[in-house]
Amino acid sequence: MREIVLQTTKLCKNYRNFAALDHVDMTVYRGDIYGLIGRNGAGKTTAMKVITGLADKSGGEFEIFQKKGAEAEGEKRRIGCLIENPAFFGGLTAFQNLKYYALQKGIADRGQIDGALALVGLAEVKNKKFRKFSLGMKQRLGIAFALLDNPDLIILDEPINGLDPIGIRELRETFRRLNSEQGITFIISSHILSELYMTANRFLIIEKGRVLQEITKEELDLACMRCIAIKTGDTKGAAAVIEKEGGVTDYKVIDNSEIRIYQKDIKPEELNRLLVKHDINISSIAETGISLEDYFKMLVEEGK
Amino acid sequence: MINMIKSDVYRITKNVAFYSAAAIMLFMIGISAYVVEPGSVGMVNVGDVNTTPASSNIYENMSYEEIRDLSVKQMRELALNMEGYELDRAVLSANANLYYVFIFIAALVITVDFSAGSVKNTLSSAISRRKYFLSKTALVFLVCLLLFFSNTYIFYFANLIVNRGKVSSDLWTVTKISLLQLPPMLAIMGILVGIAFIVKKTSVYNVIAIPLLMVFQLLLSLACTIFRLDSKIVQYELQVMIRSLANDPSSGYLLRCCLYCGVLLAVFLGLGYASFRKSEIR
Repeated sequence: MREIVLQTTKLCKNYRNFAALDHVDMTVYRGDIYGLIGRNGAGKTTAMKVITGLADKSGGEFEIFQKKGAEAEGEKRRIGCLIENPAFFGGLTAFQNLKYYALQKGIADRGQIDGALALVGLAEVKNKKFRKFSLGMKQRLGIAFALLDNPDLIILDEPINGLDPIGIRELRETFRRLNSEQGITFIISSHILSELYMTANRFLIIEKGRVLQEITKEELDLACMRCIAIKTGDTKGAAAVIEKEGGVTDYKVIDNSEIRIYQKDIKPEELNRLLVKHDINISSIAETGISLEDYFKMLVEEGK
Repeated sequence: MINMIKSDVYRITKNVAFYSAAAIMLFMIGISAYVVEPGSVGMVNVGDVNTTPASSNIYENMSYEEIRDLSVKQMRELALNMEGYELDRAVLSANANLYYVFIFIAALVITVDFSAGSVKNTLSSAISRRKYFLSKTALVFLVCLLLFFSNTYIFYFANLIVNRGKVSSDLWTVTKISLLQLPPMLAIMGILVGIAFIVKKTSVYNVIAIPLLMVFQLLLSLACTIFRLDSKIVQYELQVMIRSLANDPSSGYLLRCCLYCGVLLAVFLGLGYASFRKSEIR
């Protein structure tokens, strides 16, 4: 049985009349790279803030390393995080900023600071003041801070913001290496699905504070695979025909112009004949897999 | 908590402004010692005519033009020859000036962390809110007390050296006055810490803290005038209290000051912690 590092049960966070988190259930196992996927304002950052104590929950519970409440406070030392934009003291250098936090955490080994800076590619600018850093460099320093003191769990909120493509790839490899070699668990949020897909092994898809789906990478691959995509201006009519006449049950209406059929024993040409016979105008019909973005869009539409 | 304090000491000693504030304090000490006159802002000028040369009668037999044409050296000589004048006591009477240094210290230790956003790094992974509040409060008090006593004793020895002991009190008197002034000094520190944790941002903190003492004095004066309040109430205004405690206060007055300052300290620290404990860190 895998050890649970973080578990939330019906976690809620309300702001006046607005529910930023609405009964969120989430389970992160040791060794996971867990991706939080959602649009801007979906609740990813709010969830991270509640878990790390930057905001109070309005309801529900969460356990960190199987401890809750005051006991969980003591486990915060095992967590490294970067929440929202990286924030440090502008007048201090990169090294001095990390030393400040190293002193706070009681880290005596100066080598850990140099090691963290080297991991994120900031070793050569460690004596440069933070206020002179570019956005990407600031982001890297934030990640270096999260890596300080060899935490068991690292929580990163949109860590690739501001990074160039090479930087993104280097960071992805760093996360994978730390995960596989040191067993560090990651929770990473992003609205860039393709990048998160390449990094994480489990995903939580969240929209308007509600969980749409918690899914493994294998399940996501399955969900995004082969289907027949029908483009038509009359999705309602087409859906009725394929269901009643074609015996199709496993399909989804994506939007006003597209239907996707996942049933494996159906051929496109058969559907085409059926629809034409019932005077349904088709602009295209073809086999396809769906992209992550489309899958996400479909989930969001279903969630409505 | 010790680690938090150590890290903040590391941070503030890397800040040039900290050394600038210390240098300004030393400069003011030097000026006060040389011109044999304490500087002050606010109500403390009102009071005992024998407290300082400027409010005494050493210029009684001189015309306005004669006084105006006196050089600093001549004014020094007149002040040094003033009978019974204790410059140390006069400077300590104006210790409310340190309020403006304390504002800076509270900002450097507390509000800079919020304004930079770096507080979320600390609270999310290293320390509870309670320990954070206690550490920051302890450090503000420690640094302010260090500056307070440094100001006292550095001035004492500067006065002794520069003025050859002519207008010096003894060391015990200076120490006693400093200890008597601790209640209002601690109250001021508590008020500033409370305000810092309530408003959190340096800009807002400065807007409130810098004029606070003067605004309070103005409102108190207006209230005394409009509502015909007993003028004795002014004796419990912090700046007046600091001055009064430097000039042989009665034990009854001292006790009332301790109680009043204790309440101020508890109220503002309590409000500061209550505001900080539940607030979302943005």
